Amino acid sequence: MQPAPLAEYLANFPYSTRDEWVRHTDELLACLRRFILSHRPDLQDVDDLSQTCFMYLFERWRKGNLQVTSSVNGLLWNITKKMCSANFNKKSKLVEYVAEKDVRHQDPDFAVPAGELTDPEIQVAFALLSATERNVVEALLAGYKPPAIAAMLDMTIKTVYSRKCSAIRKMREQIGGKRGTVQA
Amino acid sequence: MGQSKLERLVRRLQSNSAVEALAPAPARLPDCLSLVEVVEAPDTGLSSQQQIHIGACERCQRALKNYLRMQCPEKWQVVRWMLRREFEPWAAALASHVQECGCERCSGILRSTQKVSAYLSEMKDRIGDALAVFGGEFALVPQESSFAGEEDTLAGSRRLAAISDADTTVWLDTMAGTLYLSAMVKPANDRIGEIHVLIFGEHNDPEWHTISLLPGPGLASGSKALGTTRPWLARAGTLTAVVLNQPK
Repeated sequence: MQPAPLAEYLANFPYSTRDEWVRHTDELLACLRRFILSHRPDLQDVDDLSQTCFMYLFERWRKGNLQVTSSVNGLLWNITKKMCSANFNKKSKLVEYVAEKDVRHQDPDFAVPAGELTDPEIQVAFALLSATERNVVEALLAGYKPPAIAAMLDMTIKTVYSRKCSAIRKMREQIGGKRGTVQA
Repeated sequence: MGQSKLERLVRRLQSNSAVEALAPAPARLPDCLSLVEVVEAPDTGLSSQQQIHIGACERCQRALKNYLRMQCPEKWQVVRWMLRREFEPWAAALASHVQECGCERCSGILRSTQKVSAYLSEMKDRIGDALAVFGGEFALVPQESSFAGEEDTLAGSRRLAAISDADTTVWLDTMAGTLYLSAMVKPANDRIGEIHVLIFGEHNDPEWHTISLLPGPGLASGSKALGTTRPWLARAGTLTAVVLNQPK
């Protein structure tokens, strides 16, 4: 049987006791998994991400601040924002800045030059991201469209790109060529 | 060099990690922790049986790691894991989280708690099993000549910082130029005779203070003078305090 859509499921979830959470863990996980896959069928690490989402929801419930939003996208947004601050750990001030500004309002200041994200060097950097970092970036991109997220994605990748630049340099040596400028 | 070769390399990198990430989840065993238990574990603790199980169970290790993806621990929580002798499963999850996510915050926590681990193990032997362990961050805004903080004009003291759980409060204040560490347990509990407070920051050696509690009407309280200054007062930042109640 197909799991119910997440919004509908969350609206009807029996939030009364801890036992209900235990009893319905697998169902909710299945809904989260389906939700994530329906937004991003190419997303890796779906099981881990659904587990993380479940724990996020339960943690909020036990602390008394779970609000079931009418917008299911809002849920994913909250989760990814949370993961962003944990996983990127303030590596990118921009992440926090964008989170504060609420990118859902699509701040026009965040224009991104067309074609920037297709730069192969940035793609290499993206390939070198850890699975978690990639998930965060992908999920952010999934729920919230450019230009704001695109700019954020671009900057984040560039930050990671700088960090991984020696790895990229080594890789270039292996494939026997130089192309473009390596940012230090 | 041809761009196509670079693209192929990218694709290979992506597909390798995809295969790794999509590896089937390990089978669920009867002793596996539920996700609900994993979320509660930082507060409720892990039994020795659970710890042994996690040590051998990839599924549970993954669940702990996923928890840390969602919620980085506080420094005092890591100290609590150490004191409760349940650090090992979390240490593995933390190390994996730091490695995979590059989490600088948790990396810093691991570094600073490792510095106090020898100290903790000595204290652990001395105090035995604590009734309760809680902690928090003292956010200090120190000034060179006078302590910052909220002034209590009635008591003539200045409160610098405080942490508390349901029935215990521990605070730092200054009176007539002397720094005091005080504690109050409410309601008075016959089983609690003293409270241990561990204070440490990024830049100072850990300090362990024991405060003897005297019973009063409805509460037990005590105070200890720390002197006119402490090295950590000269720096802005946070101090981690861990409080242990000891059975009498």
